[in-house]
Order: sequence, then structure tokens, then C-alpha cells
Amino acid sequence: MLSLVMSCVDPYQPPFTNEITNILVVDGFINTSDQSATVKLTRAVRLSDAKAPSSEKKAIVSIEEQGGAVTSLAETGNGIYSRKGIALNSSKNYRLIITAADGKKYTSDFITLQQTPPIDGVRWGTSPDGVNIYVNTHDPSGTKLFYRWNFVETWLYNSAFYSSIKLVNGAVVLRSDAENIFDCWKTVSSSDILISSTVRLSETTIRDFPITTIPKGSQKLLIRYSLQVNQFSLSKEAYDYWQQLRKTTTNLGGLFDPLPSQVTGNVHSESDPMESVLGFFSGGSVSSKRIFISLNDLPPALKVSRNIGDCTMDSVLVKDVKSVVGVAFLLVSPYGTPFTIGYQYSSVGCVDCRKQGGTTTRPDFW
Amino acid sequence: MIRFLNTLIICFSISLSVVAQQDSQTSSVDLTGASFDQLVKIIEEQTPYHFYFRRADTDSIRVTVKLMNTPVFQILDQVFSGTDLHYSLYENQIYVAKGRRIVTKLPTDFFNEEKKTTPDAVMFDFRVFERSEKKVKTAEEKLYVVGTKSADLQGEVTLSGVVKDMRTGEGLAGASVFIENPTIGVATDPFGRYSLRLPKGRHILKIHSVGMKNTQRQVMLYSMGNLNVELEDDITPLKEVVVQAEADVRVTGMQMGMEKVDVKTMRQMPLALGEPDIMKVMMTLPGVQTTGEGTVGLNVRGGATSQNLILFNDAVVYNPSHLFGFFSTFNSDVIKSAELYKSGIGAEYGGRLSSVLEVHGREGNLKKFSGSGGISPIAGRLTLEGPLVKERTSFLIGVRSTYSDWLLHQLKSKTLQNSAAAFYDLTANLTHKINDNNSISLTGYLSQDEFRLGSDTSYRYSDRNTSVKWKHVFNKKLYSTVTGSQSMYNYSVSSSYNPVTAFKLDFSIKQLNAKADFIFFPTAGHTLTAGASIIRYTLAPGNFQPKGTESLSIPDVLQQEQAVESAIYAGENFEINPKLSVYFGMRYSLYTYLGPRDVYQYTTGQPRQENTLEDTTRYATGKRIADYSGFEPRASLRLVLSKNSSLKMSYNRMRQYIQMLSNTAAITPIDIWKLSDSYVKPQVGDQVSFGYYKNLKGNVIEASVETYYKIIQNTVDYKNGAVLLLNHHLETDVLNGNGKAYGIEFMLRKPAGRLNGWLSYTYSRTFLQTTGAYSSEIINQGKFYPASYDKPHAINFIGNYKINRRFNFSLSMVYSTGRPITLPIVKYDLEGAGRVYYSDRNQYRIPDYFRTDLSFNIEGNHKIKKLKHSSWTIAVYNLMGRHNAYSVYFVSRNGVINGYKLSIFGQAIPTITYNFKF
Repeated sequence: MLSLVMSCVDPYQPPFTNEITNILVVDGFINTSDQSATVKLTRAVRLSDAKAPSSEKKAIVSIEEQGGAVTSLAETGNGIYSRKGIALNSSKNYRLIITAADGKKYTSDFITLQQTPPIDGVRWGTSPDGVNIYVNTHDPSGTKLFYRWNFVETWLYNSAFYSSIKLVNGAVVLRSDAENIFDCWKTVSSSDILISSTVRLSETTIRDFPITTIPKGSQKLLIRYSLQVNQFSLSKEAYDYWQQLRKTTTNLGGLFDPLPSQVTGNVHSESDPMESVLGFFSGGSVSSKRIFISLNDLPPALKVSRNIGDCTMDSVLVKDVKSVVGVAFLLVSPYGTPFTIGYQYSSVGCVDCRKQGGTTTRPDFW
Repeated sequence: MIRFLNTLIICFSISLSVVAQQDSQTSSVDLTGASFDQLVKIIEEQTPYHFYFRRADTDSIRVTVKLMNTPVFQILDQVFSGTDLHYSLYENQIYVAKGRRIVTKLPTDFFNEEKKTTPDAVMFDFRVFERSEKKVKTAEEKLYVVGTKSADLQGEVTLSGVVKDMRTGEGLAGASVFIENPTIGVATDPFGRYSLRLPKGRHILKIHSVGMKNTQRQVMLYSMGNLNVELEDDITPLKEVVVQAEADVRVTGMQMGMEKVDVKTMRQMPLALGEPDIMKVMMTLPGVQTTGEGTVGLNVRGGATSQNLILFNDAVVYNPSHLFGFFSTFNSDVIKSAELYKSGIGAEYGGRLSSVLEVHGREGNLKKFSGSGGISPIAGRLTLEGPLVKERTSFLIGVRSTYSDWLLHQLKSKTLQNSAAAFYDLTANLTHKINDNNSISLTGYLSQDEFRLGSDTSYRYSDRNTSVKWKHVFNKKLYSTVTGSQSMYNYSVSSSYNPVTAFKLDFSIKQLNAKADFIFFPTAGHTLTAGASIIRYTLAPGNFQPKGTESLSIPDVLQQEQAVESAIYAGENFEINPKLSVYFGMRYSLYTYLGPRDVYQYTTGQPRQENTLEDTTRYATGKRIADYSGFEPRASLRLVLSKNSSLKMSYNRMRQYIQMLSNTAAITPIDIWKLSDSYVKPQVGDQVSFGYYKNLKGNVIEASVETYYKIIQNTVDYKNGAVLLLNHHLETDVLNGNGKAYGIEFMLRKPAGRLNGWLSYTYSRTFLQTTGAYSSEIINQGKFYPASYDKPHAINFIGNYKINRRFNFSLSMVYSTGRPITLPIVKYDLEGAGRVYYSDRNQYRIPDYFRTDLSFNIEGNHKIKKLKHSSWTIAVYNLMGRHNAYSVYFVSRNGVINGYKLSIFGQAIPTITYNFKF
């Protein structure tokens, strides 16, 4: 496309605005798979603000079954309100009732709980650029037309150097397996809105819906990678909501893209119908599936060996070890036989894998 | 302008100078690169001669002569050699004129004694040149006697005739035919015909037309009669007039709010991507704006892009853009001219709210076979034309195509290598003169675009038009034109990347038109027009089909729509006296939306939504579903205040029965057209406009101010997040609103001379208001909000400077306020990522737009007789490489929200085009 040839994209800083920005954001879900309800309340902040959206504390949140019981949720911190072990009835409609900290009352529309069909499979394929992961599902009842997915990725990676020793109170001691800082697992949740519908298809079949792509050479693919996909059936309203949200936040500004618009969900203010409330309240069962991809599973073209980057080791004599190794540097291994002459050491970032955001705790499913 | 250079009258008596050409006074001149004024000064100091000339004629020549004690005529011969300037002497007065000699004696035997004013040394083939010159001159000097001689010279009679292009024999529309004392004039109709009531007696009839050499005829009028005039093309080698709205017409003509652009103006404009483009020229005129770069959609005086009636040889063009709007679909080689009516729209036009853009195609050359074309890095074009039967039947065929696909494939980017973009267009015309009173013309037009961007979805769209026009002259006072045309626009979107979801989506619209127009000149000062038209629309708003055997896509076909729009009109132009003339017109249009169709009914007292859909009414074929009709009054008035200033006013009401639905910023190929039905009402627009026109410095500079106020009813608006494609019940997403627009346009134009061009400033505002009974039907709390094409300030400058006859340089500068956008105001987290929430609609603006373009034309040598004429155009678009924002958008990626500004042309774009003509 010509415009691509010649067009260019520059960063843009929007002008400062004085509009009301303290808008309530509701992210609520009733899960019939484990009979729980979780609602997260936050307040939006001005776009130019550096701070993250704040959580709404001290609100009163409850779930109401249409023509039935009202169950209040307990505040568990960070604006999260939840309860487990609620006797949820899949055939009933539910709504959310919120009294915010400032006393304003909000309610959601009544929602139907969606029974989600199981995931048929999560498949991965390769291209010269990397690994593509797809999800497949179908609904035998032929009634579920709208789907949303999210996923959690976990992968194992290593620091540049394996450290077998450590300095404790000025003495060099062996590092135990439990203190291993070479193997780390990093877990990241998806942030894209993944939705699809079978409305325009003659079967309620989703075939090879692309979930994510891992580029060749990514840290994720160096040892072993795992991905869990969660699948949600959506009502038409929920699907429309997510679709609009996706349109207004991921793809705008191109030649043929629609003009952005205000996207509000199914929660409304009781006192002021013109007040905007963001987020969506929905419910139903969740289907999940996990896959693993090991380096050995990959075709040779995608097998990229670990690169230690800028990491280098230096050595220090035994007598100097205390003056060098401390906060910024960690010991890697001793050298000199039969007697240890000194130690090799490197910077913390090259030795401790946790510095790259992972944890050394092995996940249950690994 | 005739200028008296010397106020001293020197009374040397040289009795007569009929033969003075041989023994003129001598003078010594030594000048290098001096202006003509300097030369005049020197000669006037040394001789008793006084010069009379128009500075606009002479400011393009540079004088380099060194002649001592040489006769003045010899000096002038040398200075004027190779130019189109001529001189003549009468009693120490030297008249310099362009294109012809001023006659200093009676026409009798004039040519026997005429001295050639153009020496033989230049590169012209004089046999051809002289013959044509002689023909023009003879015609200009000859006294035409019209009617039978009689002694009775009391009263007025009608003089009529046709103004034609001498080269091609084609009638010239919009040429002005006038006498100056008293000022009586008229513009020719689209076939070049004119009819004028003049007092009996002797007149000098002047004929001016854009792009043609001005001429005049000496007429002795005894009774009603006919006078045909052939105008000479202002031929390429010595092209002088670049931008010329007929100087006198702008002030004295009846029409206001009209801009006429001819092909030459278009060629001179600096161009993007190397193609001359009529629509791009239109965009530089006051009151005309565009949403963004790379779009050809015009927003005329606060109107939406779909509110322009775009006619190509009388057939409606739905999508005038190629290649995402970087080109218009009109091939510059087959276009004669284009007129854009912003106000004062005559009763003969209807169906769109804002403006009428009439593009006139050329007719083939009736005299000889010829061709033209051009090559630029993006596209190539070729046009052939000629007579089939000499002087009677001609053909013209023009094609244009791109090879940008090839260009894309040369690029390093993988996505781009997988992309494809191609277009072509084809125009063909066949004209046959049956006899003096009947002629018939056939035009076919096809434009097609296809593109596939990196991804796999491919788009294809095309406009196909045909029209047949029959012109008939009943008698000198009554003309008629009967036109039949068909316009088709369709697009398709298809994807086959995933075999399971592979699909093809088609949209098409077809309209059949028939109309008859009559022009009647009953008595002096009156012009009556009347006519009738009927249009049948058939619209297939969406046909979604699976593609391939594996595809599980369910076919989804939207119901076809059909309607009939008919209209009758009558108008009267009455010149009450030479100073005051008025126009009254009335159009009555009637629209019927027809079955077969299932119409959904919604619960009364509830917003129209899917869940309030209650019932379906089935209408049989041909059954009336909805009717709309109304009068559309038109009126204008012109008051001449002085010889060079006038005041004009106009009012018009327009109705539009077909709407374009688009919730993207620019015209896109996949916009949907929708016929008005029981829910989506037709738009009605009323515009009042005032204008003051003044020509300064004896028509060298034209100045004008026009102002307007417009009210629009039933504008089309959309609910937030409206879905327009494959929507079976568009009424649930489309809203009807109101609009108002007002503005003032200032324009200064120097139409001719070494330096010519224009400068315009426009202040304009456009607001929409959408308010309904339910919150989902209220946009921005029901308040007026700026339309997405509301750009208050716009300044345009176009300047052409002729360095010499072969090199010419032009510069254009465009400034406008940034268009309104909806900005995100807050951020919040949802589903693991930052999201944004937008402000009320169109409350902010993208940064202001400013662009400078430059172009340089190099003409080939000026031999008239050679195999082909060629020229090179080197142009730089966006000279400063300014990153003008096309849009601003926000993307949440990995949980972080970033704002970006997209510019279509982020750097200067140089192009080079080779044009030829044979």
C-alpha cells in the first residue's frame, strides 16, 4: 500500500483535558465452574496521569439472583470483592449491585449465565517467523455463537551463569538445589481482546482461531513454554461490548478505521443515567486447556540457542572476595585445582534469573 | 488594460502613417534582460512615439537588444520575435497587442498592405501559422452583416450561434459572448450555443473562453440572424493563460459560487504522484475542503462528501477515487473542464445537497487524428482521438493504468510484497453530427480498483457509466437535450486466508436516468429553461457468500432496495436592465421507495433496537413503502454596481434521497449507500449566499467575497459503535439529525500574466445536532457539535511564475485547521491491559495542516509542426516533508497506552512525469 510506503507514525501527546475523569470501572464475573463471584472495582484516571488507575475501596458489592437471594461479596483488598461457594443456578439471571465509597449506587443489567463448551484443542504451528498458537472449539448444541478467550503463558528460562556457590557472612558456601537461581518461571497474562463469533458460519465451529504468536528467538522458546487458554461463551451484549472495546483501543486511526466512540458496559448509575460507568459484568462457566512446547519440539529453523548477551565473568582472589562480591555481584564458581585460588563472579542480572521478572518456584503444572 | 505611458502629448505632425512601417523613427537601445517597460521608456524618450499595451501581455518578455540608430520597427520586430505580440502604428501611437494586430485602418484591402510582424527566423512553420493567423484576423476584421439590409435600425433583435473550438470543431461551453457598450452578454450553454438580444446596428462582439484565445467579431445587425464563431486554442507552445475565470464574467455574469477549472490549470498544479488531477485543483478553491490527505472526497461549504453530485458527461459517479483516494478517477487527457457549483445552483440540478461538480469530457477531434499521453512512476495514460467521418463523426478513447503493483513488489518489506494495488480507467466517446440541428454523443466510462494489503483481505471496486446525449435545435430560440444514462457502482471484499471462514461480500448500486432539458430564448433578456427527469435506483446492499468448498460461511443476503426519483423544473433568467438581472427556478421532486421488501416495525415508545423489533410488514414488488416529495426553489440576483464591481445573492433548496453511510473519517470504497426509507428520511438543505465581486486594476486582479449560511435537515448520524456492514436493520444504528453551516470566503486572483495565481482565505463552520427520545439516540447530550470535516480556517495559495516560454514554475501552499477528532480522556485497566475511554464526539482537533508543493514544467521546443509535442513535469509534493497528521490514535499494547499521529506523506515526494501529444 502506498500510504504504508510513505506514511509515518509519530508519538502523539494529547492535550490536557478538564473533563470528569474519575469514572467507576467494574470488571465482574460470576464463575459457575467453581461457584464463585469476583468483582474488581477501579477508578479511571486522566490519560496524562502517570499513576495507575486506583482501586475502589470500602464499597459494598453484592450479587442478586432475579427474584431470589442477594449475596454480598467480601472485600479482599486492591478493590477486589469476591466470594466462593455461592449456590449459583445456571438457569437464573443475576445482576450486580454496588454502593461506591462515596455512597452512589450502581446496578448492572440482569445477565444470563453462559454454559461454555469445552475447548477441542489448542494447536500450534510454525512459520519462518515463529510459533503460532490456535484454539479450536465447537458447540454440539449449536447455540453458542460468541466466544472470548484469554490465556496465561508460563515459560522456563535460565540466567546466563549457573551459580554453585554463595557468600554467607563472609564465607563461601555451596548453594543448595533449593537456592537455585538459574531456573526461573515467568508467567504473563494476555492483554489483547480475543473474541470470535460463528454467526456467519453454518456450523458453530471455531477452527484455528489465532491466539498468539511467539517470535523466533524469544526467551519463551529457549527451553520450555506452556500456555493455558481460558474460553468463555458470551451473550450477544457481551460480545458487542468486547468488540467495541477492541475496536476503540486496538485499531484506530488507519485509513479505513471507524471513528472512535464511547464504549460503556452494562452497569449504570442509579441516580444519574448520563453518568458513564465502564467495564462489564458477565457470568458462566469457563473451559480451559493447557499446552506445552519444548525446544526439542521445534523445527531446526526455530531452534535458537541461548545467548548470554553482554554477560561476562570476572575473577577475584580468595582474599579479595569480600570486597568485590556483595549486592551488585554474585559468585558463580571457584577456580584453581587442587586448591581454590579464587572465584569467578558476575553481575547479579547475569546470575540471578529472578532479576528478569520470573520466580524460582516451580508451578504446580510444570 | 490600455495604459498611457506618457502624459506629454508631443505634437509632431506626421500626417498619416499607413506606410510608415518602412520609415519609422530610429532609436538606440542597449538592454540586457530588461523589462518591456524599460524598452518603452527608452524608445519614448528618443522618439515621438507613445506605446499602448496591456502589461499582462508583455510582462513575460525579457528584452536583450543592442541596436544603434535602428528603426523602431526593426527593434520591435526583434523583441517580439517568437512571441505572440504584434504592433501597429497610428499617428505616433504604437499599439501592442497579443495574438492580433490592432487595426489602424479600414478593413478594405488590409492584408495586401499588412506587414508581417513576425519575422521568418523563428521556428514556426509559417505556412500553417500564417494561414491560421490570417483566418483569425480576417474573421476579426471582417464586417459580418447579419440579416437583410434595411434602413430601420430601431429596436432589438436576436443574434444566436455556436462558439466552437477551431481545432476540434467541438462546441465550447461557458464561453462569454458580449458587447461592451452597452454591456450585454451571455455565456454559451453546454453545447457552445448562445443567443443574445442586441440593439440593431454595428457592434463589436467579443468572445472569451477559458483556455482559448480571445476574439471578436464586427457585426452589422439588421435583423435576427446567426453567427458562428470558432475560437483558436491558446496553443501549447505559447500557452499564456493559465488560470482564467473569464475576467468580465466573474463580475458581470449571473452565476455566483461557481468555480470553473480547465485542463490547463490542472496541469500547472504541483501534483502528488505525478498525475494531474481535477479534484485536487478543486480542493484548493475557497469553500472546498477535504478530510485528509489521500482522499478525494470533497466537503463543499460544510457538506458531507456524499452530498456532491458528481457528473461525468451527465452520468453520476459514485466513487471518484483511485488507489485509496490518491488519484481521482478522471483522466486529465479526456477532460475538457469541470465546474463546481457551491451556491446559486440552477433548477436543472438536483439530488444532492451541497454542490454539483460537473465534469465535461472532451469530444474527439473532428478534423484530424491525434493522441496524447503521459508516463509517471506510478501510472501511464494514453488517449487517441480523431474523426471517423471528417467534420461529422469523431471518437475519443483514453486509458490509464497503474503499475504500482510492480512498485510494491520492489520493496523490501514482506507485508508490502504481499500487497497489491492496481487500478485502471477507460473513457470512450463517440460524437456524431447528424446535421446542423442534431447531434448525438455516446460516452462510456469504466474505472476499476483492486487492492490487497499485507493481510489477505482484498478489495475491488468499480464505477461503470454509460450515457447517450441527443442535442436538438428546434429553431434559433429553442434547444433541447435528451439524455439517457446508466451508472453502476459496486465493490467486493473477499478473504480466503482461513478456508473455513473464507468469504466474498458484494455491494452494488445501479441507477438509470432519463432526462430532457429545454432552453428557450423568447425575447430580449429572457432565458427560459425547463425539463424533467426520472431516476430508478436498484441497490444490493450486501451479499455475503462463502468462498471455496471448505468454507463454512453462511450466505447472508441483504434485501435489495429500489426507488424512483423524478423531478420537473422550470427556470427563468430575466435581465431586467443591464445592471439588474434575476433568476427564479423551481424544481419539484418526488421520491418513492418501492417493494419488494420486508420492513421491520419496532415497539412504539421504545428506542429502535434489535430487541424492540416487533413485527415485519411485507411489501410486494412495486408497492409503495414510503413517499417523499417537495418543492426546491432556487433564486439568484445580480446587481452591477459599476463597470467592475457587482453584488450577487442566491438562495437554493436541495433534496437528497440517497445517503451514504460511513462512520470512518474518509470516503472508503466500502462505504454503504442507503436509499431513504420510512426510517431514514431524505436530507433537505437550504442555503442563502451573498457575494461581492470587484475587479481591480482593470481586470488584472479579481477580488471577491462570498458568504453563506446553510441549514440541513435529516443529516445522517450514527449511534456509538454503529455497525453498518451487513446490517439487516440499519435503522437501529442510523439516526437523523440536523446541521448548520456558515462561512465567508475571500479570494484574490490574478488570472494572467507572467505571475499568476490566487490566494484565498475561508472561515467556515459546520455543526451537527442529533437528539432523540432515548439516551442511545442522543449524541453529545443533544448539543450541536462540530462535524468531522469542520475546519474553521483555510488558506490556499497557488502561484505560477513563467521564467520563459519553456520553463514555468509553480508553488502551492495549503493551510487549514486540523479536523475534529474524538480523543481519549481517561485510561483504565480491564482484562489485563490499559484501555481508554473517549470524550464526547469531535471535541478535539488534530494538529493544523500545512503543506507546500512545488512543480516545474519544461516544455519541449516550440515548433508547431513536429511529430509530437512533449513536456516534462518535475514536482515535489510536501516539499518541507512536514508530518501532517492524518489522524491520531491510541493503542493499548502489552498493557501500555500510547498515542500516535499517523501522517500519510511523511516526507517530500518527488515525481517526474513525461507528457506527450501528437
